[in-house]
Amino acid sequence: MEALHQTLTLCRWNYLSLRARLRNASVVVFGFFVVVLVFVAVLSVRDGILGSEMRPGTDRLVIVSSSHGSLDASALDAVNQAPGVARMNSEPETAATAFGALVIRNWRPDMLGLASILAIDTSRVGVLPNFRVVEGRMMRPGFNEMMMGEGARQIYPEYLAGRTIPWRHRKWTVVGVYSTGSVTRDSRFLVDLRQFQDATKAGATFSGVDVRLLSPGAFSRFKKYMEAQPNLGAVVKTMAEEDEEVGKQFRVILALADGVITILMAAGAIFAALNIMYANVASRSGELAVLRALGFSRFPVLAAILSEAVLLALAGGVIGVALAVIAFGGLETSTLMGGWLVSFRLAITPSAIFIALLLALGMGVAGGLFPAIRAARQPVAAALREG
Amino acid sequence: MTDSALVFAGFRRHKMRTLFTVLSVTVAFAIFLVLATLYNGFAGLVNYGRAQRLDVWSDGFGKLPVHYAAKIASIDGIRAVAYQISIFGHFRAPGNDVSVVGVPFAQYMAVYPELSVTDTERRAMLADRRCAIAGAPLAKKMAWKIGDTIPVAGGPPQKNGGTTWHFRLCGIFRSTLPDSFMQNLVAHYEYLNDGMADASARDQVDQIVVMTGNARNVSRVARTIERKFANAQPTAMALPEGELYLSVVKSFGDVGAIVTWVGLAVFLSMLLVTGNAMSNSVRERLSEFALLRALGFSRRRLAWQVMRESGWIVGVGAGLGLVLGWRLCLMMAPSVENVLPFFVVNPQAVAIAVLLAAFFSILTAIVPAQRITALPVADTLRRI
Repeated sequence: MEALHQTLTLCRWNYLSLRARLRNASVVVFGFFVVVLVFVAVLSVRDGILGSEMRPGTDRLVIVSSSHGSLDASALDAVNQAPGVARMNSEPETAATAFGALVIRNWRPDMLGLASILAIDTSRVGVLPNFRVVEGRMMRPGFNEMMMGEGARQIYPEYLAGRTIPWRHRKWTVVGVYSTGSVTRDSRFLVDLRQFQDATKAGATFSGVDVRLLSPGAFSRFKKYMEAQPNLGAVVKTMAEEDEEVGKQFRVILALADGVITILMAAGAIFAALNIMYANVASRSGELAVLRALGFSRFPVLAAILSEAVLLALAGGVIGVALAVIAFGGLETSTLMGGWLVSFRLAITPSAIFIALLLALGMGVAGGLFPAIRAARQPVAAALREG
Repeated sequence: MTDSALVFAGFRRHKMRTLFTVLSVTVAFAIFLVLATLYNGFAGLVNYGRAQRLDVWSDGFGKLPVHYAAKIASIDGIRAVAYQISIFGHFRAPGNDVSVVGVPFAQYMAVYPELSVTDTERRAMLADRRCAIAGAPLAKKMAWKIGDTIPVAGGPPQKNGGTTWHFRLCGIFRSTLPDSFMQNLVAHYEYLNDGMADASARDQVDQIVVMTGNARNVSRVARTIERKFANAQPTAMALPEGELYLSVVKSFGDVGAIVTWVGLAVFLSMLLVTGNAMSNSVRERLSEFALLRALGFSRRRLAWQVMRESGWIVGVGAGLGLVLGWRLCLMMAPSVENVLPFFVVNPQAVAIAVLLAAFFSILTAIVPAQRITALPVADTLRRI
């Protein structure tokens, strides 16, 4: 009880003296604040992408393509007969798809618009997980109409305003906006497969088949069946696997940069705190010695100094997180992933905040512990004589 | 006692402080170098796209027929046209991956003037259809020597049923391009094409590369190429490399901005930390400086001493920081290379760092030095 009382008294004494040391204290807070801000900012980019790629339903949506290139109607038949395919009104839930590149010239000064087009059998669009129309309407087969993903609308807002997009020597009208909740998949344009085949003169071929399975558990049997098909060269992947691959490199770079830079910056901030805390202890060695002589024991001294460092670090952490939330939270931005422009929203997740505050706490302990130990250990008599 | 000895005596008195201050500077410069290298990684992409060059692809993501190249070559204002097809295999053991690029050799070298081989190598290459040249880093990695026969296993099936393709190493090419552009084994297109068992895979190319005579014509040539194949199957997409790579860099956009802001924040905070440490240290020693003044040291001499102190701290810190940053970049390179092939520390960044260090050391010394110059000697001494 006595120890607690002593600790509280010393802490109070210490905090009250902070006002006199305002400049040094704010340098410490600033150092920690910058580290936490940068840490949270980079994490928000990563989480913005990662969060959207983990969506329900992608583990039972399978994408079949061929190592030989294009597929035709016989391949679609083979898929339709495969085991594990979900059916609705006895129709297999499968959709043929194809891809095209939509390069928009003179999109911005010195910038091409690098977009991709997904062509899909319009009547089967429900196969795509979480697909919904958020604005306007679906494109119609037989018309040169396109839909934009929600991300694509962010990147190319000018095309929604009734402007037509020239592609393959035709003019395409944007009629609506769709969403599936995926950063990469919603940054595309969507057209009807038949119309696409017409425009690209690709005949009746396509590049893949999207398949909805009865359950994720049906995947391995389906895959084995498809790979055993002669002359198909089937490559079978779940959409979850594909999403994982697309974002992977990007995330690796971000994680690496965040890791290296955070460690370096944290080290810098800790050095600064150590410097200031040591100077702080040294300049008050006389006062501390008097307190020790008055009967305060070692632990309260240690606690008072250490808690000051921790408190300053947490203050820096809280300011850093708060500023990150204000400046970056929910910010819509775009970048290049896998060669295409992708729009996403920076996400500051509770776990990121928690880790950031933990980081601040750790930095505070690292910056305060050794100076606190020195303060607690200093020989009372010698310090009194000097002070 | 010399002035330098005085400076070092000052350092020794607060060993911890000196150490931590130096380390803060180390950290700042390490971060600077890592971020500058990251930035270069983006910027390098722009420089790579030669203003005169343009790339032609099928815009359905497939391959193009090789005869497109001849049709493109007949367009006005074109200096050279090359094309390439890639096959993938491994050397000796799976995992020891090799990508082989089949090209029309003479045209390929004309389109990529960045690549260089000796005249002997060039002649040897043109004389033998099984010849191939390897990028210097690839040859080093695989321990290939000129004259070696190189079996690349696990490629596409050949007419004779085998999947192992044999090449003879006739040259090793060098380039100013970074490593990841140099990991190819460049072979003859005809040799690969003629060897393919699958007839539908023959006479196809992944990409056509065009060198125009004048950078001003690039856009016009690109449009002409696209018009030429507008009604063909597949249609072609022609993009000037300069435009494409600049666009790629700009498209990374906000990520680049974040990098810049981080750099700025780190630098400012380090400046603050070092400046603060310096001014603390001077303030503690004000009475000593006053004493030195009383002993006859001039104002200027003492100000110089503070400058020297900060010069040593920043100089040693920056030196260590650049070494550390360079090691970190080497460590990060393998995981970053796929996206940023130009993730290489460049001398310019180091030069800028040195200039910054000089600037930084002067800036941190100015306030304490002024304080000493303006010191009221008698007053200060009285307070000891």
